[in-house]
Amino acid sequence: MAEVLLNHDLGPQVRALSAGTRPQSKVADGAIEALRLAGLNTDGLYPKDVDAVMNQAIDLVVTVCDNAKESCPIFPRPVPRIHLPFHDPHGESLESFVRVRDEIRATLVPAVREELGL
Amino acid sequence: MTERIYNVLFLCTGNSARSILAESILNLPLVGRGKFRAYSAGSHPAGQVNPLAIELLAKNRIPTDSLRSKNWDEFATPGAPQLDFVFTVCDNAAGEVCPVWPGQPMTAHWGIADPAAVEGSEEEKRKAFFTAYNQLSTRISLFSNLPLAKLQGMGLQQELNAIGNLRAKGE
Repeated sequence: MAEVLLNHDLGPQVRALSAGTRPQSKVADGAIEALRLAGLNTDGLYPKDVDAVMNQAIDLVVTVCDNAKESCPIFPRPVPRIHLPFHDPHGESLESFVRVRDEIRATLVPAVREELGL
Repeated sequence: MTERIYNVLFLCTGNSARSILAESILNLPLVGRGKFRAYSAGSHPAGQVNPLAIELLAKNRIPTDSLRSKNWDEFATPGAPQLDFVFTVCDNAAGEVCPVWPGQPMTAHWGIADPAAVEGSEEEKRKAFFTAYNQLSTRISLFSNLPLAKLQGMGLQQELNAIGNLRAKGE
């Protein structure tokens, strides 16, 4: 959700990618539906491993995992990093995904804008 | 510019559903981020918060304890919070009369359909509340991430109006 929101709200100045340390086999249905309900395009989204983005020229890493409940990955390259934990709505209701969608939009988008000096 | 807290009032007629949901969403720590204090009121308050609004918020772990349906004249008294933004969320497209807030705050109209007016099964009513919640949450998160310190006057008003126009754009 963060990838889509950043690309929508800060593109084309910012190009966002997303990855996980243990990628699921598909993007959560609730995430797709919540994005679609905000009028956002979800074409081409798929879960990928951190290895898949390692060779990209990355200026900022944002970790969004809730480290109270899970261990957060460490990006194995010296890249500026900010940590913004969000509740993991996986397996919960669509309302829960909508809530996290908009918490990401209200918190993460301005944080990235500020961090990159936009 | 020093960081300040902006007072935001969501206004509709009954203050039982839409404006209550909006107040609750902007007061979420990760949505308002301590930059906003949200309130709600109605020009003809229903007197009680719609139970389906409470149900939806509670199901989503959003606090409901301090919510109440109240008259907008509470915000016109001398000790009331100084309002920076007033957003009307009633549906004049459906013939509802939207109250007009006089004076200085920035205002915009973010009309959405009244979920409390939906007649039908409980399922249909819950769906209408979810639709209102989704639309309000989308608008409020866009509002919250506006760079307010950089935007002023006309530019800010245009952004606020654009948020209200999501509906006309086929949402």
